[in-house]
Amino acid sequence: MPANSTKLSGLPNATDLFLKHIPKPEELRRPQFGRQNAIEYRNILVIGDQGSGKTTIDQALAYSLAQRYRATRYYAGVEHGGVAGLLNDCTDMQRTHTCWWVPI
Amino acid sequence: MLVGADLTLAKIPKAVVQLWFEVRHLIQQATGLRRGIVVTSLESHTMFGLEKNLRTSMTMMFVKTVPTNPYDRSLLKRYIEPKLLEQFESQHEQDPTAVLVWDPQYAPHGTLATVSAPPRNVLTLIVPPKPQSDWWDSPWFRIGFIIALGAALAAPFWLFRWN
Repeated sequence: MPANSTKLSGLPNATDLFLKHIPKPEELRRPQFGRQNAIEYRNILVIGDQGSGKTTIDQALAYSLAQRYRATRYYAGVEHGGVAGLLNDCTDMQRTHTCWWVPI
Repeated sequence: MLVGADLTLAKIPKAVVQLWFEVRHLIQQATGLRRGIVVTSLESHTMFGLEKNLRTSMTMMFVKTVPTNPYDRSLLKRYIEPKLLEQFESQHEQDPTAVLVWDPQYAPHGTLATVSAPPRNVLTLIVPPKPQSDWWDSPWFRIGFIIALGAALAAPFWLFRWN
């Protein structure tokens, strides 16, 4: 933080607000039937200028998510200028065996 | 967590956008997992700069700087209280950790919050796949093809010329 900056006090932490939407591991939906997909989904939008700290927000959210699910398999990836690589990566069996574990 | 960064005016093929909305099923197919959570995050400079389908439904929105163009400002004002937007705009340079958060459940008119860098990075940088291009689609093949075709058409005239 620059020396001439002032800290806005009493404001909520954005990651705390984010975690309100993230169930605890034991509260995650459970599949009811044989092949039912109970994977939950959340979508976040981050708007900001170049160098404003968009990826820092994502890093903070990814870190808080990793802390919440620290006892489980966890994967977090970032791709610049597209999403195709993310789709390839998160559905690649080899990657999922090597990268889906991020100890904090 | 899947983070798409720098998506302003990114050309995302429709097939990829379609797959993006099937990500839960893709993960189930690939890993066999049926329980868990996928968080997707999309970064853009402006709301209009992002593919329309990708920004239609969101759990939360974080605004780090307010876009200067009037179209995005008017769109943002539908989510965030205009006075709060102006207050944030005048104050955010004083505190780089400040962020505007819109949350339909907990902050339907927006709220100011802080966010700071975590102690370590857990995001893996993903290299995008190389775009698949067929060899006959390359400019060198096209140039070569035109030259070869021209030579083939001109050949009989050259042969008659010597005879």
